[in-house]
Amino acid sequence: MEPFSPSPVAFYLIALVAVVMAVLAVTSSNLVRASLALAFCLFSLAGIFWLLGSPFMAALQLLINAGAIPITTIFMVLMTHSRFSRLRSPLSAIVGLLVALPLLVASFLFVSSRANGGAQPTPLGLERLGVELLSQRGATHTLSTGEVMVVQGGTIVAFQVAAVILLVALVGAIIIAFRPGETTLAFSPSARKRQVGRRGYDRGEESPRADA
Amino acid sequence: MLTLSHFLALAAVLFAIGLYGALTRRNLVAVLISVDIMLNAVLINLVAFARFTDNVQGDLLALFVVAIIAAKVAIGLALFLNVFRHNGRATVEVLSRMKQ
Repeated sequence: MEPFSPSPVAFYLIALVAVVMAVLAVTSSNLVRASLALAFCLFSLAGIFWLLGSPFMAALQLLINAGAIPITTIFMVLMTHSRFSRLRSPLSAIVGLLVALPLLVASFLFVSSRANGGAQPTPLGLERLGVELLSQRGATHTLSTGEVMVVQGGTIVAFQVAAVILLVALVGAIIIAFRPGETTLAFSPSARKRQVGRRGYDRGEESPRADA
Repeated sequence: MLTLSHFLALAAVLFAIGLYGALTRRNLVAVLISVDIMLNAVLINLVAFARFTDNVQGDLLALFVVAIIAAKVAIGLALFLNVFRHNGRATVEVLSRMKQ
């Protein structure tokens, strides 16, 4: 596809929202508000990806980073009873500034030293991305436009590994958060036994936990 | 006209903000929020370099980074829940006491 020129006004507006919301997410003492600010920050970054000509990354950002991550974060805030957060100490704010500001200045110097003339972003078509993602390196594919492309990425193996990593993370999260006696899986025999016991307890019998 | 430097500068600002938060916040969930901001700054860098050089592998790498972010948040939820159950609060000090 042809390179295009993204609109500077849209970029500055979105960047302003992203930076303000990031500052709020990092400094707000109310963690529910911080999670909401995080959601807005990640939401506006989807606009940045759109401006860069990568609609797939924009959609992914909306679905996962702006949708699922802040909700999980709010779950974390409520489940760990940490509605409010303070600074570690007044000293740590100074240390944080001393680390973050030089990093910021250094990266600005680096960025401004590499002026890259009139380069323009090239939009990435969904079809091309999908073929690159789901085939082997060197395979050839005929696009719907009729042109033949040779796959340079070829990340089908990495794609499957990423899927396994997500599965392992989910199972691991369940096992780490599992607590015998308190967390029960609805379909396990012990859960059924506990339910029967609870019904008996409701009828006025002794709770099985009472003598423990 | 927008150049690559604009996007890199935005990513640098977001990364610095996230780094400040990760160093100063006391609550573990707040630290995780800051790390999220840093990771998304890296995502901007990846996609910006990929699009300005028309290299599809940067986009693919960004896709995998998103998968890793999702896995990190799921594991983080479980870990912080356990830290909270054992100590009654989920703060950085609790984790530094584990060294002893």
